Amino acid sequence: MVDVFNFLRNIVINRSCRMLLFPVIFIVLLTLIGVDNLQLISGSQDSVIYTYANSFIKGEIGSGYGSASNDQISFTDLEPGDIVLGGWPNCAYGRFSHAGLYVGNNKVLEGYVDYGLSLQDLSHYLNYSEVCLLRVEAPSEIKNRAVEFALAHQGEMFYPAAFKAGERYWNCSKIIWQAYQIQGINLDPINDLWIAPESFSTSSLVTKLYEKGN
Amino acid sequence: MYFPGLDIVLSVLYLILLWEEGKSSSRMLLNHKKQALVAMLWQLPGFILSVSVILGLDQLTDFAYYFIFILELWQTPILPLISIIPVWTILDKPLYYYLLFMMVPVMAVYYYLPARKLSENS
Repeated sequence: MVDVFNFLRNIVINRSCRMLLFPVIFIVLLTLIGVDNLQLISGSQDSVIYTYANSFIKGEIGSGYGSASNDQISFTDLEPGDIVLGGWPNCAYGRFSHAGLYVGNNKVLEGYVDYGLSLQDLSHYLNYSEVCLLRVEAPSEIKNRAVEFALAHQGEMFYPAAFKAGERYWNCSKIIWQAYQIQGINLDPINDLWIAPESFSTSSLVTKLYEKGN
Repeated sequence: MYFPGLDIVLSVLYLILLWEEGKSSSRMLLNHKKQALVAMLWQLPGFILSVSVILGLDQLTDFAYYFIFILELWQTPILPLISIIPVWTILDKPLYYYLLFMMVPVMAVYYYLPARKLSENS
């Protein structure tokens, strides 16, 4: 134990070792993650990393831009546990840039940097040029439990590049995926490292209630 | 493959290495003003992003909208430590959001402190 402590202490004190420590840790972790996710490296064109890299080449880097649409969409058929997707043109990670979990009373649970996981008005989805309303094929008690799970994480940290594993960093899609995952429903058909809003629309476990755009 | 808590361990290690780097740099520079300048230059992207968001400059262009995201990515090394702070909301916004801004000067001071200590001791 003392030897290990002294070894670590020497690494920290020695400047050359110190400079190399994080690059080495980075390479080791990257290799481990790569080996563990070979199915994504070997050309899964639906993976988030593939979609993002492809968009990056075209000069698209973020959630896309657009001007607010004035279309009227009826949200009256939505039930708690339904998923609402919104998207702008040129979004780098798929057709949809944002996702929310409908919790009832015209409110959706979403993730934003400045509000963390928070309840927002459903009506802002009217602005998106691409909209999709999805219903998860599951009994209402499971969907209610998913909603309860998501609501219990209000105020927690939003991080745009949050991996699917762990429960300290969230983004708008991860909280929905995790809320259903712990109920035994995996909404990510390709078991990616990240989950993008697009993945929900391609899942075989949902039905489309409404779709606008494209 | 997931190692719960590894991010926190790496974040603590980052702070230890940073403190050692601050010490070694202060011994090389032998001037706490120079060390302060290095600290400011190191955190300059963070200062620019923070000031832009606080002044609302992030709403001027489509790209500027991403400043707050870039600031959060900039804080990635210490984000694991921020993520274990309890969920508190101040003026409708979570505490971690304010910390994204506050940690820019805090990290600069953290790097500068060993030079101050060295100058006090000499």
